[in-house]
Amino acid sequence: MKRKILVFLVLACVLMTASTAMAKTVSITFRDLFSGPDSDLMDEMVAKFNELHPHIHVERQLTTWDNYYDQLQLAIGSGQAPDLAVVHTRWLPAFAARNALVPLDEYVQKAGLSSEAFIEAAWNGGFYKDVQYGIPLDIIVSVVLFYNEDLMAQAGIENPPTNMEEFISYAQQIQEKTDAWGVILPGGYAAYRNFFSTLYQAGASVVNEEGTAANFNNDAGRAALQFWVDLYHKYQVAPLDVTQPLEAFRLGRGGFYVDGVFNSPGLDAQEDLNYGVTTIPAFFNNNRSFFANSHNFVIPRQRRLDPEKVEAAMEFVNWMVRNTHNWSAVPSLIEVTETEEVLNSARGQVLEQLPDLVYPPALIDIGRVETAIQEAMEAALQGDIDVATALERAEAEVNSILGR
Amino acid sequence: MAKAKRSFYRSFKENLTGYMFVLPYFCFFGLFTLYPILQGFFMSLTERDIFGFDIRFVGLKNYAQMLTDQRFWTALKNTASFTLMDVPTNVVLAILLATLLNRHFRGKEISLSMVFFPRLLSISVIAFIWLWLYEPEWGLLNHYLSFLGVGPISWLRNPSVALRAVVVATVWWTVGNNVVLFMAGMQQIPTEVYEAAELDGSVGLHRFFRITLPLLRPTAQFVVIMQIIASFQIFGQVNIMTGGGPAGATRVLVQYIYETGFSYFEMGYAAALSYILFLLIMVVSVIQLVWLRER
Repeated sequence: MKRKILVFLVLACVLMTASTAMAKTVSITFRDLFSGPDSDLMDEMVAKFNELHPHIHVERQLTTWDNYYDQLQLAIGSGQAPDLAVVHTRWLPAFAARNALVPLDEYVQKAGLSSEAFIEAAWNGGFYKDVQYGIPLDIIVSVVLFYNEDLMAQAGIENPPTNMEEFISYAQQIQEKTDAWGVILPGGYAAYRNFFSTLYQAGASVVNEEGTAANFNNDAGRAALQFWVDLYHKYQVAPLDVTQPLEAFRLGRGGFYVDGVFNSPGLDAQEDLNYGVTTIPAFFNNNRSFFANSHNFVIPRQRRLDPEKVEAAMEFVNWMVRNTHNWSAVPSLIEVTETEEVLNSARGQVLEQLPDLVYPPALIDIGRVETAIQEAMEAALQGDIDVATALERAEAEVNSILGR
Repeated sequence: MAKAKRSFYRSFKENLTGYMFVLPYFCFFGLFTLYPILQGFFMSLTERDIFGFDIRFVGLKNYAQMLTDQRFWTALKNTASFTLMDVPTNVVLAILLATLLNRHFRGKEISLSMVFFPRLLSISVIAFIWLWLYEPEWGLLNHYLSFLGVGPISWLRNPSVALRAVVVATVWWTVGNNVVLFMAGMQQIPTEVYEAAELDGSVGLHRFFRITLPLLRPTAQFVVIMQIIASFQIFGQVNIMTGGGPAGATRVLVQYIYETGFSYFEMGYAAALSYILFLLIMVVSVIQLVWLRER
């Protein structure tokens, strides 16, 4: 009897050790830039993942979006990088080319992620020079048309505009028949994204296919920039001096507002504002191209790469991309875009426009290139220089940056 | 030789307690000030990003690059115009307010608090307050100006106005600090001097220009130098209120250094720009000290 008890005890001990070994959790740190409602959603998703995967613990490190990239760069540079982070498609080549990211090809295959399951353009945004560094979580529609339903009704307009003529004439009608401006336009980088979209609609692009020279100082580029200049100066349907454009639209001071779809939460806060969101009109050539971006999961370069953590991170990524049903941006996984939750949400309206999305060009000096174009564009919008001079100036600077 | 060595040793031994007292400070100074300064200079001689995985020594190339960098010159010009507008406005207004507040009257504490209060707020709060005030269509400023038949003025989206608008916000934010310094300076002027002046028949403006102002010189000197240094380093207001725009009209040096380091991934060049800013501030401060001492 005593012997039996002894055997039982030994067995119990062995079993307990084995089970603790099996339950050993891999902890990974995940740093992102989501704020507001997105941050709450992300918290929920991470908590759910942790609950369903006892062997992995994902610890979310919160950083505010406005200094996210500064801190990420510092963290990577000082060897304190998180195990997993988020980088926009726009910045991915700049990080990858500077060896700040871990190539993912082998891990992606192991995790069972494959290109066919994803929306192609989003998937391709995770590559730099044919090496994969990122896996897209979503697609951010960075340029949409917000319209004020009440002002449109007052002006007798039923549907949002679908081309340039309608856009201009509707804006003029709103301005004539109401106290509001026809259009409110953002400044700064948001204005650049708007101009970027029309650049591609008109048939130009930021750089040529090889990424070696500017490709906007041409008829198409001039037409695109002229359009925005004309809204201010020729048709005078937009105020040039507004400093808080989103607030202006929120307070009903303009019929239309052109900016990223992520501005919706700010507008929803205004209860007496009845607004709608749709894709931007095809201002040129019946083409609805618009600026898009993605949040990509990336593994920042580590002082010592732990394969166990990378595998855990990949399992997390694999789960996340499959559970974006309630995420604020368009899911990157085709399968999720076909679910009820997505089709019935505001994101569903954008789905048919997905073939028109255009990502920023993959340039390692994207920051300097965009500053050059944005500054020339701003000078033209102010009316300080004409469109041709602005684009010539920007072209010269972009070519010299690309030639370095 | 041996004697000199011994006396050095002896004096060191005698002053050991003193050295020990300053040692903690020097440890921190060395670690957090001196080392970064030297490291920054070394950085300015290299081509690198913040990650530091690929560092190339390039000698003085970064400094040479500034000569042809139009953005650098514009940023320098913007910084200089900001300083030239901010420092005189700030100092004159501070002396004026200090004179008004340096008397006994009902509500003195409240008035002083009101002048000093903005200084307690962080720069982002200040920037957002002024973003609202400057809003051309429904901002408070244009609203009241419209009663005077002025405007509407495009404060922050007009390249020729934007920098001035930033100056106004900055003065509002920082003037309280200088008012307090000037008031302290005024209170240090012995009352006998004023009494003697009064006997000689000096009152009002005459007294202010002949006695108060000259005796305030040490304070003024200090305030001007600190204000110039602060103006050269202006960043937060610009970054939040205009982001350096429109069309680069408010891009100041520190803003450009920040962009160069973090958005353009050119940490070596950013370090070189910082060193030039450092030299500029040093030269201006030294000139000022020498000039004021000679008088």
